[in-house]
Parts: sequence; C-alpha cells; structure tokens
Amino acid sequence: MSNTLTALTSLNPDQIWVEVSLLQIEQAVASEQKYSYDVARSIALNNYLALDAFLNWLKIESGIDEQPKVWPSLDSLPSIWEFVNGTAIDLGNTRIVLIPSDEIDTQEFCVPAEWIDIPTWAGDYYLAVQVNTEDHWLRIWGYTTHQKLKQAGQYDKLSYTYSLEQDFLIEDLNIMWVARSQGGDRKVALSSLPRLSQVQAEGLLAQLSQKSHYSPRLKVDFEQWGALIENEKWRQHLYDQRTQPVLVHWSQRFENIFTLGWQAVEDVFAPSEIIPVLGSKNLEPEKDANQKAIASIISLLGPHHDELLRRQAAGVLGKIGVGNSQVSIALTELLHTAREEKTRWQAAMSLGKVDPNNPQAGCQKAKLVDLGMQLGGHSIALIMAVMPKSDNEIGILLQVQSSEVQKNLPPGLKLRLLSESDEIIKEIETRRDATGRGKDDCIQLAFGCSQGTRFGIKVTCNNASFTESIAT
Amino acid sequence: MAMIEMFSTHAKINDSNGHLISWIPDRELEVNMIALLQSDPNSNEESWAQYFVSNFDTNLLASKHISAYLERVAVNAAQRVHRRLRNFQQYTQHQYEIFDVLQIGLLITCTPQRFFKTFNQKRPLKNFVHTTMERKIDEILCQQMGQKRLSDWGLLRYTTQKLLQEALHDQGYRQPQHLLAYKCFRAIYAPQKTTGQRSLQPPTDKQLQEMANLYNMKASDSTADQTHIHQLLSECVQALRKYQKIRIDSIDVSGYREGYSPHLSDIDPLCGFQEGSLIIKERILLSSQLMDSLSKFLQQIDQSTDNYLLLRYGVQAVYASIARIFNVDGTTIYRRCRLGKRTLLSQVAEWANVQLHITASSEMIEEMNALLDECLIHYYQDLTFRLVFKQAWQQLGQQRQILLRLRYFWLKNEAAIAHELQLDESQVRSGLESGTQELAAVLRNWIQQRLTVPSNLLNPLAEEILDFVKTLTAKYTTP
Repeated sequence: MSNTLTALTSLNPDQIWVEVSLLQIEQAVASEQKYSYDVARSIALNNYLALDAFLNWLKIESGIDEQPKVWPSLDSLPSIWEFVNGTAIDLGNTRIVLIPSDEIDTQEFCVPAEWIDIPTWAGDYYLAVQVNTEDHWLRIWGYTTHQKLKQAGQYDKLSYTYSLEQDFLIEDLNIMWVARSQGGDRKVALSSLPRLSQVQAEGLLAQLSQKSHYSPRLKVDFEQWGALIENEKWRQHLYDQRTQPVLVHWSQRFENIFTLGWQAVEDVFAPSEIIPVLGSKNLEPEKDANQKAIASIISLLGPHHDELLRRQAAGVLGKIGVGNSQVSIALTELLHTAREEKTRWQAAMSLGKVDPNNPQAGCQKAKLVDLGMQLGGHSIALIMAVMPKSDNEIGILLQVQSSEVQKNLPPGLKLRLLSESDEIIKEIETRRDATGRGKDDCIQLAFGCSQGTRFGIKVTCNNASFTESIAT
Repeated sequence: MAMIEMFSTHAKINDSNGHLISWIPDRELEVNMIALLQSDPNSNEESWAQYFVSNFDTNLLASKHISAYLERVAVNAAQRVHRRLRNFQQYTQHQYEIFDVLQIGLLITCTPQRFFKTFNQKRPLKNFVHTTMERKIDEILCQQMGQKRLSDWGLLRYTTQKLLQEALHDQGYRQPQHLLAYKCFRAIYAPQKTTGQRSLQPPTDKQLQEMANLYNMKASDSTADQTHIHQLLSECVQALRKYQKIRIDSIDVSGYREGYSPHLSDIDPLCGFQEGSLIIKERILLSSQLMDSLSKFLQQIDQSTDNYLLLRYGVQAVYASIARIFNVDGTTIYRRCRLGKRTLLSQVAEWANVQLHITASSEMIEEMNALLDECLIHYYQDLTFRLVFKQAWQQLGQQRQILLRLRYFWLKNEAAIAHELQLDESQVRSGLESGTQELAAVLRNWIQQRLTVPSNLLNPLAEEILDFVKTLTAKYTTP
C-alpha cells in the first residue's frame, strides 16, 4: 500500500480502501473500446475497476464465503455501462449494487433510477465507491438501502437519479452484513413498468440507436426507457446498434473486395420468384398498403415459423423494404435468431439491400463465368456473398449457378476454394442424374476468414477453368 | 461545574501559557446554564445536549450552547485525527499541523444546524456528535488532499452537484439554468486522458454545441447556444473557486427570526424534554443488559483478537500502530478486528431479536453498532481500571489524586487549580506530571505483559496511553 493511501486509510479506518495498480487501470482502459461515446467509456472504466476491486476484496478480506455472481452476466455488462452507471452483484438472494464515481468530494451519493425503479434491477444494498485513478486507489465510503433511497432520496427528474446526502449513508460495511443476516432491510414495493409492444419497442430502438454524445436514456421519458432497457434482448440490440461503428468500414471494405467485372446480382440474373403479398399482385402498392405488407411479412420472420418460410420472407423484405427501419431491425434480429446458416445469409444479404450502411449488412455480387464451349451452351455465374461475423471475422459464401432461370448446371462442374499458394482447401462438384444430365441447379461453399486473408476461387468443367483471386 | 463549562466555554488555541487549548467562559452562556441547572439539577450531558438541539432552530442561546459543546467535541476529534495522520505526514504532499486540523474542526462547529441536519433525536446524541465530527474532519482532509492539481474544468468535472449547488447558492445564483448546464456538461463531457489526470482541457466547440442541444431539449422555450453554455459553466467554476476559500458564518447573524429569541430559561425546560429523558433511560437499561451479555461474548473470543480490541477500544490506537506492535501487516489487524467486531455485532443483533423481539434494519444495527462501540470502550476501560489502574491510583497519594481529578474530571487549568488549592502553579504542574507519568508507566507495563511484546514496541502509543490515563481518571476515580 502506498504511503499516501496509508495516510488516507488512517483517516477513515472503517471504510474499505483498495489500491489500484497501473496494470489494472490499463486493462480497464483496454475494455473502453466497446462504447459509443466518451461518458460511457468513463463509466465503464470506473465500473470495471470498482467491480474488480470489490470482488477481490469480497474474496480475500470480507470473511463472506458465498460466491458472488455478476448480474445479469459479465458479458452483458457493456450493454449496461453503455447507458447507465452501476454494477449489480448477486450474493445469494441479496443484490448489491456498486455505484462508482470519480468526484473528489463525497457530499452526495447519486444512484441512477434504473437501479431503484426497475423491479428486476432493484438492489437491496447500494455501495458508494469513490474511484481515484490519479492516485491509484478506490474506496467504499458507505452504503444505503433501497428503502432509504426511495423514501429519503431526492429524485432528479431531469437526470433520472436519486441522491442522498453523505450523512445518510452508513460507513461501516459490517453493519450491512449483519443487517443482511437479520433480514430487516426490505425493498420498497415497486409497480411494474408499462409493457411496450413490439412496435413501440422497435420505434424506440430505431430512435435511440442513432448515435449521440450522451446516454439515450435522457432522450425519452423514464417509464418507456425503463421498460425498454429491462428487456435484455432489446437492450443488447440497442447496444449493438450503437457500438459497432468499426463495422461500417466493413461495407466499404466489401466494395474493395469486388474488383472489376463483378456486378449486382440483379444485373446478372432474372428476378427470382417472390411470395405473393396478401391480396395484392401489384408490386408497387401505395405506401400504406406497402407498410401493411411489410408488417405482415415481418411477422413471418418469427422464430416459431418454419425456417424456409423465414428465409423466403427475408428475401422478399430485401426487395420491398429498402430504407425501412423496421425491416432493418427485423432482419438484424433474424441474424441473431436464425437456426440455419442459410437463413443468416439471406438476412445479411437482404439487410445489405435494405440498409447498406448497417454494420451487420452483407453484400453480394455476381460474375459471369466464361468457360467457352465446355459448358455446352450453359451460361453460369459465380456469386460471392460477404457477411460480417465479428470484429475481425467475415463469412464468405461462394455459389455457382446457371444464369438462366430453372436451368441446372452441367455435371462434373467443380467449384474449388484455393489457398494463396493454390492448394485446394475445399471443393464441390455437380452431380449427374440417371440420364447423365446435370442434377444440381446450384453448388456452394461457405467459410469464414479474418480480414486480410487472400484466397482463390476456381471453377472447372472438363478441361476448362476459370480462376479468380480475392483479397479481403 | 463541568456541565456549566461544557456548554458555556469557547476554545482558545495556543494560549499565552503554552497550552494548546484553553477554555474561555462566555458569561452570557454561563449565567443561562446556571439558571437551567437550577431548574433541573439531575439531568446529564446527553439530556442537555438533546434539549439544546431541540430548540436551536428558534433560540439563539440554544444554538450557542450547542456550538460551545461541539467545540469540545471538535478539539477531541481534531486531536485524534491529527494523531492518526501524524504518522504518515512525511509521505503526503499536504502537511497538517494540529492547529490546521483544529481550525477545520472549529469551523464545523460554527453551523450547528448543518451539523445536526441528519441527526435523529430518538438516537443518542453523544455518539452522533463524536462520530460525525471525526468523520467530517476526515472528509475535509481527504477532499483537500484530492484537490491538488485541478484545472477549472477538472474542478467542475470532479465536483458533486450538491457541492456545486451550495457554491452557487452562496454566490447568489438561485435560478436553475446553471445546474441544468452542469447536468448537460456531466452528461457529455468526460476526461480524455484515461490515466486519470485531473487537470482537464476545456470542452470542444462540438461538445459545447451538444450540451446546448441537450440543454434546449430539457429546458422549455430555450434557445441556448454554445456561448451561453460556456458562460454558465464558467460561472459555475468561479462559484466553486470562491466557495473553496474558508469563511466563518457568525452564529449571531445566521438563521434567526427577528424579534423572536426568548431567553432559554423562559422556555419550559421540560417541554420536549421528558420524551428525550425516557429514551435515554431506556437506552441506559438496554446498555446494562447488553453489557452483561457482551461480557460473556468477549470472554469467548481468542486472545489475539482480545488484545487487538483492548488496544483499539481501550487505548484507542489505530490499526497501523497496533500492527507495528505485533509486527504484522496492518490489513491483518484490520481484518481480525473487523471480523471480531462483526461477530459481536451479530450476537448483539441476535440478542435483540430474542430479547426485544425486533428484526433489525440497517439503521437499527447502526445504532446497535454505536452502542456496541460504547460498550466495548466501557468494557476495556473498566477491565483496565479493575485489574491495574485502581491499585495504582490508590498508591498515588491524596494530593496527586486531587490534582488529577481537578484537571481531568473538572477540566480546570493549572492556574485555576493552583488558586483553588492555594498552591504554586509549578507545584500543580509537577504533581500533575508525575502522577500522570506514574499511572501511564503502570498501564504500559500491564499492557506489555498482557500482550507479551517487548516494551519498546509500545513507544508509538505513548500519547494514547497518556490519554488513557486521563480518561480513566475522569470516568472511574471517585473523590
């Protein structure tokens, strides 16, 4: 312990003082990259340090044997810290909420209303943690209860926080442990927040996923906000939407993958069959009817539907939902809930048409393959689709199909994936039926790779071949 | 006499006789206190303090009495805090003399209404004042240590809203726009340097524009631009800078309605007083029941923990000093003492549950904790007195006993004692010195044998042991 910290500890011996190393601070800083605005990064830093210090203290110093559990999970914490300060830890049936701050004075303790008024978030005890990264320490200078905050706290309706003056906090955590064992601290009963419909939620998500320099919680009234963020799926979705700017570069990057000769798929193929829209054969309906059509097709994406139907619905939405934010949200959702990779691909491709700048949108292009007389009059196209998978990974789908509608590929046609040194990594070949004619209308290879990978595509038929080199 | 002095004298730092503190009587308060004591001669320190706190909002004299009382608390607290800090002074950038810490403590006594803001009158006042005074001094020192190297924007960023609100109010800013601008600032501006430098750069034009946009969204009919926001925030910084300078609010001009300050003896002294007495009596009963149970609990703890608690609660040593005696890490002592205390507190809570049929909340346990602290202090002081001090006291001789009681129980200074006993001041001083040192030596010897440590390891506790002598003399000896 540093001498300054020892001096401070001697002033307040009943408080918990923890030294924070430079390494810990650096690790905390490294985790800051997952947030979309400065204050969120600062919140994440403080919470990261507070959580780490508290868990260590709990394990080594506290004399408490129970295993703590971070709520809802360690992986979910960024989706909380992006929006609100605080970290919850469950110890048995008790929820302890750490509220760190880096202010120099401790005149007041300020708790975001999420931790008090959202029933599934509310804590039993709230710990005031002062973080000082300059002098490399933090301290827990007191605690309070849900009841105290709710009944004696000053509610700020502009910033959605409850505040208590310093003197209302109890300094000694020993008291908390004993009170907990006695069971005398009861949370104030809370009423449920108003339920949001899917449409309302999607509207809010669309509104709040727009990047801003402050937490989106300040943009809407608290009841709506609380209902939205309480839903783990919606909260994660909002976080994903707000925090993946780096993937925007992916769509630009994808454009660079496709060199001269690659065209839009629609320019190479005739339009594919679409599912008839309810009661209407007109593919250019009025706006309201279009909205209804979109809404009804979106409902077909639900996880309880057959996967083929979901895939087809995604394909249709890619055509009729261009620029529609609800379609964008629904397709992004499908990316996460799809049961088959094919469905994921379809979702990514449709998203690429509907919302090209979406960080999760895919991109596909086609190129006509010239194999001369060897194809016996067949005209074939190579399609390459690219889809972002994670920070540095992309998914690639290679397809060969006839450029003519409902025509099978010739038998013995091979599609090969080659390494940078021309070694065959994967290969697939078209089949022949009993009469010796081609049986497959499409062959494909799918794989993942990291950014910067180079590979080759080779299409061969008899002795003719077509090769394409790709750099991601 | 002690009661009169407690509520009617003011501290003078560093008097001409070389004493750190001397106590100067306030004639107005003295006269009033004598009159009050005549109306109820049996009430004790706790009762009178509670009474003054109940009335200080409407009566200037009550406020002055409680302020005088707080000065004694502040002096004791400041001395304890300085003693704790002194061991580490050479390692900190800020150097605090005892006078500095005393000044901080006495400053706190100037605003009794603020001091007692969170005081619950159903709870013991004495515990509250001692704990709160020390805590407030600690926090001011902590805060001062942290305020080095703060730029204007760092000051604004690292200050709580409450402190800013006080500063704005102090400078005459009553409208809400400054606080709203601050909230927008806090929502958008964050330190760029993640290494924790507190000297921060000003917000950029873009950030100021974002703050203006948020400000206009939150305020009705507002069209603030970045210039306006910058101005509001700058005024916040200026208010904070001015508020940092130490001011003393005169008790005579703050917070009283003109034309309504009846003399305290005109107020029915039992008005609102009887209830306080009942609570105190109930508490005394609770304490004595608790003491019986506590003695049994303490007889069951292990010897090491018992020794640590003796030093912590009897001698009032800090964890770091205790650690040096046993040549262990300070955190080891801290952990053992805290776990030992928690076990005792759990047993107290269980006892209350069984005997009093209450399921204790945090606030009740906090109260029990304060009671437990008192009981532990009493237990170890009583133990020390019975086992060693009493006999040593009896061997002192009558004259030195009288000198020590006049000094430590009646709180008279040497001049007053010399006058009362018709002695030379130097004789008084010599008698006090030798008596105190003799008793301290006996105590030290006993502690050393009980702890089985070399004598020199107790050197850092010399002052604490002297204080222990004074406390035992004041509390346990009889005339």
